[in-house]
Amino acid sequence: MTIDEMVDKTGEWLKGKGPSNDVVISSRVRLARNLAGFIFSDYMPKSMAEKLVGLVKNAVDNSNYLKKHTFFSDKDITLLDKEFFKERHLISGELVEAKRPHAVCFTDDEIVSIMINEEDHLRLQVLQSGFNLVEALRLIDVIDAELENNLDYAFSPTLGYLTACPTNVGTGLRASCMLHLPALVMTKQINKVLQALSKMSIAVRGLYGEGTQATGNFFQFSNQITLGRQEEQIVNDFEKIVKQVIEHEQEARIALSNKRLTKLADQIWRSLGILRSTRIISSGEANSLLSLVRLGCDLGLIKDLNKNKLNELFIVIQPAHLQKIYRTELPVDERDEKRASLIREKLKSVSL
Amino acid sequence: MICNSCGKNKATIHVTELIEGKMVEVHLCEKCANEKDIANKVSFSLNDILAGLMQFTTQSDEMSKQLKMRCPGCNLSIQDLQKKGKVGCAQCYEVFAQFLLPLIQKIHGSAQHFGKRPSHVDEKLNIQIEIEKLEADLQKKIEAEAFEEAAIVRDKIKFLKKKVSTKKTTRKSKTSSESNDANKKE
Repeated sequence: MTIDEMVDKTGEWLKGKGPSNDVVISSRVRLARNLAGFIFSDYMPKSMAEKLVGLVKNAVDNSNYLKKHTFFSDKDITLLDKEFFKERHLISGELVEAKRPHAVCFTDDEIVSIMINEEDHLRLQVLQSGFNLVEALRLIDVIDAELENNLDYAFSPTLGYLTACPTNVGTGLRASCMLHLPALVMTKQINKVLQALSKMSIAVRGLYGEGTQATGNFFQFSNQITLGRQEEQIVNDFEKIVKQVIEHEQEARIALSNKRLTKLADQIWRSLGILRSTRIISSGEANSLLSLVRLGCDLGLIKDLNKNKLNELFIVIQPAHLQKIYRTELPVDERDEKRASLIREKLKSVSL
Repeated sequence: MICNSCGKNKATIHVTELIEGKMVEVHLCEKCANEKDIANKVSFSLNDILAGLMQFTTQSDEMSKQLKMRCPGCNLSIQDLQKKGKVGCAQCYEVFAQFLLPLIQKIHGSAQHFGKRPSHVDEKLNIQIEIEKLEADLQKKIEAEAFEEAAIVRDKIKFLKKKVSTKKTTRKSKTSSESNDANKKE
């Protein structure tokens, strides 16, 4: 698959399907792996990094599960391409910035992605639509086992899989869920929830992972502890906690629609009104308004907008996507104009 | 476990603090922890922990000798480790074990892996890990006074220990690369 082909479609995980998709956008499980006998990515000489990319490419090519994949080495892609991948959650900000030889490969449905020479030699991830960590874990386990047939992972019986940062050592497993929590924000319960989560070793981040702020009422939760428990247990424990947050959000939505429906409906319809008529809009403002429109869909107020289309909008209005869609480099002010016209176009058939 | 502060309630918050260079474990109930504002201290960053450990290490002569140590695998020094918060290679975990293990214990509340293992890691080691896992389980069952279940676990441990002792390999390898070398020697 070429990057141009990707522009017109979205990953399978954005389909807005799966359990609890009113609150959970996506679920993700990633594994950190390093190869025995190689210095870790940050300290690795260039020739060694190149050799490692080759070894991993070979292992990926030999995998049955990853048959339909595309492999991009850093030499094949531009900075804009990498930003584009990042907006699709296929790679991290760290890989975008990486100076050493690195690569990424992902399946055509964008469910599985493998970063090579990120902080760790390998970062495998599986993304699922909705609240579906169990399936993500099952898949990643299969892929990990397949790759392991051709790669010699750095492993210690006491400390497990050895990683560049001691925070990932052990299982190297990070489970995360992207949650949309507008009602908890509106009812001012969100801080209480976040405080409670931090006591339970759950990290909270923004839409694009580490080092990003929460915008548009989207929060990414992930487990902190990777050692001392089995993979299934880590995922189950995390799942139980996320489930409670989902329930809180759902309760808050019911409370809002029981007590303040008119006011809430007013906010939602106004948001749609602005989006349908805007001529200049920043991605921050667009995210906030789209968040309310999404809530309007979930509450059944807005009826003729499907969730896949809406999820897609959150992604395609990001800077690199806009530049890919309009096939030209765009400075910030032009982007805000193009973003506005793209949103108007996509929402034109939605009745007010 | 009873709270160290009030001596009445059940301790639910366990904090390891550095007090005058010594690591002290404090067990508190929720109420006392809130009063002491411990909950906020728990969310320290990795660099804070590393920095904390460094202060600890500079106070003893033996430790300060090790400050000059470099990892033979990647030439990383303990200062590099502190600065970046990342190790340089798999070997670092052995070379700097004295620094890293307490840190890992703090981050994860454990320093023993219970998750999946690469299939090439030798069978004996797998059994050894299985035994350790069962032993932890046994302890829990005994504490919960589930003696019948405990007896079943104890028998499993016995069986596995017998299995290990009949295998004649005696090595204690720490990394997979080492165990591969050991395989060749055998």
